[in-house]
Amino acid sequence: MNRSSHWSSHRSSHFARQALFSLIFAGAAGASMQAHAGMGNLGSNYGIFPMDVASAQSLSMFNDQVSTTYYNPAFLAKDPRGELTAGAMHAEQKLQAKGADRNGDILSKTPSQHLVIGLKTDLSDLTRSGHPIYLGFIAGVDKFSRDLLAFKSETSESGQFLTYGRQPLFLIIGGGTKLWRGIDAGFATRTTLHSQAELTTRTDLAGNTQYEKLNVNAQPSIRSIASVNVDIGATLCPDNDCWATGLETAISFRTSSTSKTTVNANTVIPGLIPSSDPLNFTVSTLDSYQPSAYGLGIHYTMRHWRFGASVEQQNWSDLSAAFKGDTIKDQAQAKFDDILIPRLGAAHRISEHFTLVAGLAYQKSPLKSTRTQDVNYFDNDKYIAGLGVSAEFKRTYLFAHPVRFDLGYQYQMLKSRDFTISNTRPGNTNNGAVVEASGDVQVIAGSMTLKF
Amino acid sequence: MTYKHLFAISFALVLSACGGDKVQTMIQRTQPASVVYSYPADGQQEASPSAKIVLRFSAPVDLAQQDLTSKIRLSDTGGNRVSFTVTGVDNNRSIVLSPTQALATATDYNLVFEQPLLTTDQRSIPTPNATGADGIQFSTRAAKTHIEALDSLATTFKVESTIPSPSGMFKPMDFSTFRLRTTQPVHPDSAIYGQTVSLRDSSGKLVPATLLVSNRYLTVDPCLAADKKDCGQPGDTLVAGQTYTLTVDGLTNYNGATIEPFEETFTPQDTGPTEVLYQRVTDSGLTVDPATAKRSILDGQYINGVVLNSVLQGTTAPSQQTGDLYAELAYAPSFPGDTPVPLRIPRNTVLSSSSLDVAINGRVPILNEATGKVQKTGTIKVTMVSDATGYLYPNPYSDADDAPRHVKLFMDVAMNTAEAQPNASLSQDLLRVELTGIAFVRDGILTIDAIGIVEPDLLGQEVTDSTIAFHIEADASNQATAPGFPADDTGPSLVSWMPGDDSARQASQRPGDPLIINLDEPLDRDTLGAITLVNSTGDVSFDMKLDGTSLAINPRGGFRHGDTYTLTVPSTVTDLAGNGYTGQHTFSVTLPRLADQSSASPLAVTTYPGFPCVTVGRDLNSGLHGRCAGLADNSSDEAMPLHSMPADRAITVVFSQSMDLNSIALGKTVKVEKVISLNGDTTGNSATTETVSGRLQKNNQRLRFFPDQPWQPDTLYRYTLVSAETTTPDCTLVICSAAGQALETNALAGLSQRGGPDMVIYFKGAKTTRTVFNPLRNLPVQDVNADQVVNCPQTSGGLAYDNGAAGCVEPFNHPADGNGGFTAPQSTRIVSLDTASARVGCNRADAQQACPQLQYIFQTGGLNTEIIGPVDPNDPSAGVEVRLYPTLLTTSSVDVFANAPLFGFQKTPTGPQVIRMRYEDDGSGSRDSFIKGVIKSNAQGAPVFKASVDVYLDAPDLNPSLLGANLTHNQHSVPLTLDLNGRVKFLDDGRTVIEQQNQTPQTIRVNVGNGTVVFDLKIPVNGAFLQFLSNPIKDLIAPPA
Repeated sequence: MNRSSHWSSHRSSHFARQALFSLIFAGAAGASMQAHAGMGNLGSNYGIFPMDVASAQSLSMFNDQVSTTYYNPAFLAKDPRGELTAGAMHAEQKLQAKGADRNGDILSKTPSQHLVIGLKTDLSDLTRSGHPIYLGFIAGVDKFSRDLLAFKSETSESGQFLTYGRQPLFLIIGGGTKLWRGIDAGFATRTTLHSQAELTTRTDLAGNTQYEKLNVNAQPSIRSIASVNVDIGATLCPDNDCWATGLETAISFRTSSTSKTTVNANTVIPGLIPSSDPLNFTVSTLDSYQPSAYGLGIHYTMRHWRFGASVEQQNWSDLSAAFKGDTIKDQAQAKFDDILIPRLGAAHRISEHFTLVAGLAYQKSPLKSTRTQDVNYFDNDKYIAGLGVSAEFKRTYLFAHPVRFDLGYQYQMLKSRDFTISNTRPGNTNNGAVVEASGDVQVIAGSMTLKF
Repeated sequence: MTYKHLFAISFALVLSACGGDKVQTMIQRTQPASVVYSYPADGQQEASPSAKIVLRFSAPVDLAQQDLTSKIRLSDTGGNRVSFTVTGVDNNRSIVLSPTQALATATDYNLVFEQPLLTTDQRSIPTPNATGADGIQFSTRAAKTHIEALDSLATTFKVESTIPSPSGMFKPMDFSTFRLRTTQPVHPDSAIYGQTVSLRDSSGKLVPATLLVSNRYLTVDPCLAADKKDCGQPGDTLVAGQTYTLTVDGLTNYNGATIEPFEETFTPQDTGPTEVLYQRVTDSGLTVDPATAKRSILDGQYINGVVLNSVLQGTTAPSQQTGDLYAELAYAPSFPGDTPVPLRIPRNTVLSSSSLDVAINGRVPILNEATGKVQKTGTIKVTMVSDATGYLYPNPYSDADDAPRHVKLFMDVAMNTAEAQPNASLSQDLLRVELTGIAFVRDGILTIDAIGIVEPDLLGQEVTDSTIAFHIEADASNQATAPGFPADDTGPSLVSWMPGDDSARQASQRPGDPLIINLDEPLDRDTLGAITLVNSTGDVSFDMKLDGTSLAINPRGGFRHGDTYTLTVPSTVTDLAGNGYTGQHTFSVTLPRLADQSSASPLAVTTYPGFPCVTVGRDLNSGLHGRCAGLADNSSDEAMPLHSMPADRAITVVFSQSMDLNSIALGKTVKVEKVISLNGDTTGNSATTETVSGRLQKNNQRLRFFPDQPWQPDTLYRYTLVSAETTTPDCTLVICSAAGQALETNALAGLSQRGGPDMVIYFKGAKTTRTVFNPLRNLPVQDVNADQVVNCPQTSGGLAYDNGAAGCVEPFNHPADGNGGFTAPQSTRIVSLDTASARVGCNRADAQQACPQLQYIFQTGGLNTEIIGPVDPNDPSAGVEVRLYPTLLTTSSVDVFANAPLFGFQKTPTGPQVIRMRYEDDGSGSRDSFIKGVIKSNAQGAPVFKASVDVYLDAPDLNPSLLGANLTHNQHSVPLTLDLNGRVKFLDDGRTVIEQQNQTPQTIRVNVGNGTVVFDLKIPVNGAFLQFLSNPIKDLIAPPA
């Protein structure tokens, strides 16, 4: 696990991610061993690529990079160029819970460390008609590609944050196409895994098993994202400039997605549990839930400036119903509200090569309950600010095609909020303790994009 | 590019440097410890008063730093605190509280911690509670004394509770056995399954079941299997989901009151699919090496060791119990959360215990008369006579994950032993034995540690107690290779019977005594109907009682003298598995012939309490009961003391003849009264009294009065036996024998004077005592009809009895003793020291050699004794102290030929004589104590009984006369000392025989006519031979004719 940091210079972009990986991992060597997964995913918690991170996702719907496959797949049709992007992200999460029942403030320091790769290409030549269709593909793996599944669902006596922690495999594939002048539509899918494990055994009271049988399978769950992007200027006045030139809007809809695992165990204990009717217990639980979301964005491009604003409604209230069927979370009786996330951002092209990006967002906490039995969820309102820089070089020594480097930084401040611990486990001593949850998250992301 | 990477590195490093703080740690508050187990459990009913309280905790308690006797409060509902000592067990993880005195019966107790206890790591243990109010509440069982108030839980007679019950914590299952508790003891004759107790299904059909009854416990054990062998095995169940009704209606108590009707409807729950768990009752290793034997983590006793505590047998050495249990467990997932998981152990499960030596009070070993070696019990068997029902449920005291689950088990067992004598003493049914324990998995083995107390009745005389620390192990990994439920293919066989084939024992059988068969296995009650009893007239109807492995039978009206009864037990009588009886099939009882009794009055040979004679000179205020009334002036006889009667005992009167039971009527011919005031008259003759309510139990030759309320300490009572001085009494107004003669109450006035005035005996109530009342009878006797005459004509030579003569009903059949005499039980030989002045038996100078048979007088009597306990608790060789209650014996007449001056030898029959035992001076200066005797081992290791008994000899019917003139004589209150010694023998039917012979000769100076004729008679060494026989071990009285 411990690798010394090393600099591998001048390798191909395919290996660039290795470099970034090992670099950032060096900093992460001191991170906490305690890992936990949570709700949300890479795309919605931070941003997929550095520009999403830097703009606090305010400009993500109108990003000409492949990450738009997730936020607004219709925008894929905007830029016909293909590109290959590799990126790495390290989110340092300092989640705090202050209470009389504990020494120290930091509840968890588990980072989220993604390695992301994306590909965007023009498939217009696929059909005889040559109708423009553009494909986007994104894959992101946590723990710098060493944790594909990152599934954890548990009750907690000390409390756990609703989002943050490690994220499972992020897999998006989608495409966009031009419908009519200025109006594009896009469709993408997100794949998550629903796993099932079945164990049948016979055991004695000392744990010695016999006649065991184990079955594990994972089914993909394919969820959809659909969007429509309207370049109002191109629609209304395609040939000349008018008031609407540079103005575009987009509307997107994502269905909810979640990872799910079910473990089913049957055991026979001779003398206690008969083989005709073995003892059966089933644990079925979900993690990394991403609610269905409606997004509405508006984007205005000027010569050197771009401004974007979006509002996203995330329907977290569906999670209350989903928890009812969850073996681990059902006792929490957690209540969630739908939330509206406003985002605002701007990008300024300072020179031929460099662009500065900044963004702000405010995300209210969807968790309405301040007391969730045995699960003890914490969640806070977040103030998000991002800053980043992008450098694009049309000609480099190495590559025949333009290369772009992005660096983004995001700071999320968790507004402090009080929760009451609720524990029914016998012998528990902190039931009823009031805990102040707060914290902050710092995200740094970098990527390299090859355009072709 | 380089700059970008450097920028990235530094940023990452900066970020990670910010994250240098450590993750928080939860503050672990010390969790309080708790009680995890108690015996008795919170809410337990019917606990034994001899129970020690056991508490087990989740962590060891600190015994050094705190005084648990002040922190723990055990009190009854009146708030009276029980004092106890505390012992630590299992490194003080458990503690045993031993009350300094036994708990009271039928009382509710509460145990709380007045301050929390402290563990060794300074955590506190709060007052435990499982159910109800804070603390552990339990109640003790009622007494087993036959006194209604002491033996009852309430004044109304009803069903107190049932287990399982639809409204209780333990719900009815399809394999349940139903156990009921009543508030008052049930008369067993009224419990008939299908009539007064029934279990019916929804269509009203009676469910086949066995009904067991004992005291206040009833068990209904359904068996729907086709083959008896399959009762209690998987598949033998009620129909789950169907409605059943348990009805109790018509049961009576001993006073004849009928129970309040009871009905309970329930729907048994499905327990399937069940799984049978093979468990082992493990060996502690104490028979190999007691020092390393395993001990219970609960109370520190040897695991599965049985120790019996009693006065009669002392505290026995531990007997090791082992056995296999096949527990049928219900399907646990059907009983989620806190619901108890039921289990069943089938009937006919046998647990065996290792053999023990049998010793009196644990000190004086008894010998097996057949082998001459120390009597051992042989293997002690405990057989479950019904399915045992149990439950496994979460720890009620603590929610902690590591608090062990609790187990409760209810069972009904029959005890018996391999050896005959202890088998007869211990064989009985014990109903509603309750085990409370903990269950946990240790090293992969399911381990159950439980405590249960059994209280067997020893010899029908004493309620003993035994606390058993069970330890049962089940290994889930070897269930597949476990042995199957042992098939019971052997039928029951005979171990011993009463009276037995021995002629002396047959001659000792009296009307009212049952015939008892002791077997080696419990019988199936449903098959007993095949047993028949016949005598010379044909079939005889009889009462029968099965208790453990002993079957007692008594015909209507009791066995009759002179007739041969034959009991037949066919092989259709089976054990619980259906195997037929394979022992001796016919048993013959022939009581000795009875001569005509219409010329003699019956005698009360023992009266308890009191002395069986009419008394004069009473001074009750001084505790004096006066002296027996007689003809002559015997005012120099010392006054007898007023007896104390322990609160829970019955008034017992034993007669010398069979009585007319209709003439014995409470309130008319037998009166029991409490003295309210003596009204200044210390003799009691003017006393104001109040009737004591109770019930009279009548057997042919015995009556017992059980008061409804216990005798109050320091309260004066009296009982009256009504009689009349007449040869033609009105038997509706006086107590009469079966031959119509009034009760003899003043023998000292002469036995030729039939009947007598009313006999009034006063006594004082006293507290209950742990000593054991042990009544004995003088049997066998020569004078079977108790008319003080040997009903056998003499030979023509006048030197012996003519056994072959037609009128010889009481033949003289005694073996010679090798010294010119005979060994005749209940006899005393009288010889003359100087045959020149007197001759006994026949008028010959060589009377001792010529007519020895005629020199014997034969006694009629009985003796009550009290087994006190060790003479010296620290010295077993000092023996066991036994006290004798003085009583009165009568003897037959002997002819004395006295040499009257000038007239030569005059034949003078002594007439029936009276021997009165005198009270002892125990150091107080007056004769007010019972006679002290000792049982110890002799040089050969056999138990012997020694007592020095002072007696008065009277010959009230001696009428010497000369020339028609009656002469006076001095044979009134002649003091003699009988220095008695003899073997204590134990019969294989459980009874004890005590043989006593005088060790020093006694001289009787006879003075007739104020010095006219004076001579000495002598009772030589071993001249007096008394043999005392204890009562039958099962108290089944003869039903009325």
